[in-house]
Amino acid sequence: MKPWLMDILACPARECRSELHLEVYESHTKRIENEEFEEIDAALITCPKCGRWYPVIDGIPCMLPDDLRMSGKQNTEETAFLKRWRERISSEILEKGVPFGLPTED
Amino acid sequence: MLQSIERMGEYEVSLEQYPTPANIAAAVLFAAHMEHDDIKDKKVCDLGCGDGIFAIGAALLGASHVVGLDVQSKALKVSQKNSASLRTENTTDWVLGDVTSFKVLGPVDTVVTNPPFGVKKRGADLSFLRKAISLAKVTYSMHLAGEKNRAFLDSKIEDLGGKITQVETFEFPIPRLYKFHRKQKHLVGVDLYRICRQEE
Repeated sequence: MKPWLMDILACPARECRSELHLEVYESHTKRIENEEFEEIDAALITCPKCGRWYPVIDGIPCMLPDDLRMSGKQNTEETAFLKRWRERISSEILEKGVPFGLPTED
Repeated sequence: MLQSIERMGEYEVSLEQYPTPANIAAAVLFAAHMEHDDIKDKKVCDLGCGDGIFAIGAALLGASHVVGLDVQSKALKVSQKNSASLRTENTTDWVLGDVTSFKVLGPVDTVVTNPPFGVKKRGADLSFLRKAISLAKVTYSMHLAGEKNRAFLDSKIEDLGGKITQVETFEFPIPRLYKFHRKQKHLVGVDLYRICRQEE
C-alpha cells in the first residue's frame, strides 16, 4: 500500500468513519520509470475515535468489519500479525485490543 | 494490454463472481475516458475488484489514484501481481474489505464495479450500487440485461439518489466456472449503467 491511501480510507466500523492513524513497520522503495515511491508492506492502522486496530499484511490493509475478523483464516492471519510485531505494538492493543488482542500464553 | 492479466483460479458461487472479459473492461473504461473524461487524473474506486481488471485499466488510462476493494484476500493477491506486471503499482492500492462497511474520508470521482448479479443472493448488486452512489459523483456498474431488471434498477437507483445517464448492452461470455452451469460457455446480455449522483 502507498501512504496516499491514508488520505482516502476511513474507519469502516459502524457509525465511526474517523480518520485513521498509520504506523509503518516495514516498507521499501520502488521505482517506475523516473518516479520513486514508497510501498508499505507491514503497518498498523489505528482509529483514534473507536480504538480499533487494523493490520496491513503483505501490503494489503485489512479493513474488515469485526464479524469477519473474529474467526477462520482471517483471524489466524491477524493474530499472527500481532505476534510478529508484538514488540512494536502497544500493550493496550495486545492486551485488550478492539476487536481482539493477543491471547496470553505462557 | 488487459488481455495479459492473470484471472483468478477458482471462483466462489456464493459471491457470484463473474470475471469481466478484458475486451469489455477495456471498452467500458475507454468510453468513460474519451466520452466523459471520468478516468484521467481522477480518483477511481473499483468495488469488488476481483483480479483488478477495471482498477488496473483505469490506472493505465491515467487515473491519479485507484483503490480496488474486495472481500477475498486471494483476489487482491492476484490484483497486486497483475498491477506489478502492468507497472501500475504507483497509482493502485488494494483494500481487503466488505462493500457495505467500506468508508472513505471524502468523495472519490468515479466508481467502476461489476457487482454480483444478485440472482443467487437477491439484492447483492444493490448494496454495491448503494455504496457506489454514496462514494462517487459518477458510477459505472454492470448488471444483467433484461427489461424487468432495467425497470427494477431504474427505480432503485433513483431511490438511492442516482440518475442513469446511459445504458449500453454487452454480450458477456460466461465460461463454465461453476458446476451448476450446464453449458460449456454461454452468452449473457449485460447492461453497463452510467449513473450520476443527483445533487441535492
